[in-house]
Amino acid sequence: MRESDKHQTRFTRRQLLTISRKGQVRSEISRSGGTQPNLPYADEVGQTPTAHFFNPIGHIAPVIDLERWRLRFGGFVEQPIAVTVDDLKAMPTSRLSATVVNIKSRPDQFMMGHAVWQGVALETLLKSVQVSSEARFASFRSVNGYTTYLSIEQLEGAMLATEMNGETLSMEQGYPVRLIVPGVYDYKLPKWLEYITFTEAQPTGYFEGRGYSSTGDVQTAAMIFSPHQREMVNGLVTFNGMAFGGKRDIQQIELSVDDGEWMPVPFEAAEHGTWTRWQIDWMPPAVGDYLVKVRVSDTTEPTSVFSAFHSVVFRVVR
Amino acid sequence: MLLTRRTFLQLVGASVAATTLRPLTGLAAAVDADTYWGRAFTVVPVYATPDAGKSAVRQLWPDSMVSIVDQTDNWYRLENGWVRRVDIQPMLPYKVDEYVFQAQTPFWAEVAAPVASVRAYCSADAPLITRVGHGGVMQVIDALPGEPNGWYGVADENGVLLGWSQGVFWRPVTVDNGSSEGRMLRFDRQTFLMSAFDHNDLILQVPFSSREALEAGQYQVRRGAIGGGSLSGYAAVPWTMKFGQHQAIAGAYWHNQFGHTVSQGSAIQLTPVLARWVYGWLGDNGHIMIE
Repeated sequence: MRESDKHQTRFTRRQLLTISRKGQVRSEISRSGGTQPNLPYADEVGQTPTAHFFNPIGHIAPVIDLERWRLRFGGFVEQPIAVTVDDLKAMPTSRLSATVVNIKSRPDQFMMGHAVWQGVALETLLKSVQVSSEARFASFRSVNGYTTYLSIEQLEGAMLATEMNGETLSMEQGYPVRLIVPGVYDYKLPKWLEYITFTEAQPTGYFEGRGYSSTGDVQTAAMIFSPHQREMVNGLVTFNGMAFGGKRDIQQIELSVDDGEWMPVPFEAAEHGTWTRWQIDWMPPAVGDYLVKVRVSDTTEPTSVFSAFHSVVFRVVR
Repeated sequence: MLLTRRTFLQLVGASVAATTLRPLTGLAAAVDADTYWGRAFTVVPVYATPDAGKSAVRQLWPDSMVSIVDQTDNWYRLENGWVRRVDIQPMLPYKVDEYVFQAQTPFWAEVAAPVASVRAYCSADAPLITRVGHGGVMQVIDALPGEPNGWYGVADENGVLLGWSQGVFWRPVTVDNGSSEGRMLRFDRQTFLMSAFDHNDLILQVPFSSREALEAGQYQVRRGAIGGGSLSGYAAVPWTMKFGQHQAIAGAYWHNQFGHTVSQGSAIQLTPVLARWVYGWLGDNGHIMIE
């Protein structure tokens, strides 16, 4: 049947992700419903496998002497403290499902991933150190000298992560402790954390000093995972991808084929700080090369403003 | 639904005298099909029943093809729901398997697919020049073979290259050279019906749409370009026939609101397949009457 309306099925999140998994081994020509990006951006439950989680160039794990390493809290606090890895392990932990995105991520250099992080809620330790009411910022310093900062308000929901996807944090991902805060770019999420200093004045940060946003709030964006650029497909084409608004809710996801009118894509709202996966089927009228674009809007006013689009050219073959 | 020539004509809102089907030779291609297709103009809601007051059960992709299995005055029934007639353009059969790349140029071609994108150069991600809906006609003045379909260089009515489009979305068209003797079209401004008379016999009655107030009178029409015209921002306007000072009858592929006034396009608009038939049947210097 060529009736495209027959194929606009709404999937549950689990069904969608299960379908996506089927196509992880690619053939030269993809069949309907099984298209999948070159990289396994997400497994069947929507997580990025740790082995495929991005690690930007320049993030070279430092050598850390765990006997001497401490996570130190200082500055505008009543009780400066220093905790060891064993201290952190002894504390109550929680889990946080969060998407992390690098500010330089782009389709041909995709640096975005979703993981379940486990660690100590920052709030737990802040109760111990008793942050002064005069403190307005938290400044972070890593073992390798990297610095960044967040406002006190931005620390809500922050986690000192020691595990990722059920395993101890790897050195590449920031062992022994990485800061995780939903909805900010990863330059605000220092790895190999060593110092947290509370200040009244706005501190300096490595990238902030180079003109990067002081808040680091993720900008809303969407991306097509499948089909990928120049992929050959036949039969029904399954478009899938993700949209991420950071702290904002996704309002609308739309696709356009061959610069035609935008088509709303059904999706299930994701939790805050978590990417939204989407999928929709399309029946091509004929073999040929097609351009597909995706754009997304969030709940920020005005809601009519859409993100810049991501586009892919793919070929429909017999 | 019985698939007959009459059925297709009904899909486009026409009625025809039973004894006069044979002369409508220009419409033959429209009806030799086992399925009738339509193109969704935009994101089209599909309803469980022909009632736009109810919630839609699904949506059609813009420019998607759907098979039409039945109709009422205001609705088409698809295999799994109902859509408003104004949202769907009835299509001639689109036989992709019969596509043959035509390297010899120039020739006139119509958009056989639901839509064809015209781009600045031969690549799907080249800047978009325009999009031409089903039934739009342009002149192919250059052809580049290649995978998967080859590309046609398409031109306006003056032969000026507009851009490139994948060949599979187009099919060559030829013109019927009818004799205008004894033939006349009458346009009724009250009912928005065009009646075709052959030696005083009514052979076809179809709805037309009009962009402007038409002045009553008798006119002689002159054939314009087969296609490639530009009106109200639409390219590839097909089957233009001029009359009066600056008025024209032409095909309109961008709406299905025939029988009403519209805001864009030529003075008198017909669905492209009927405009094509009129263009061939009436010939050059044919007569029309507006009353």
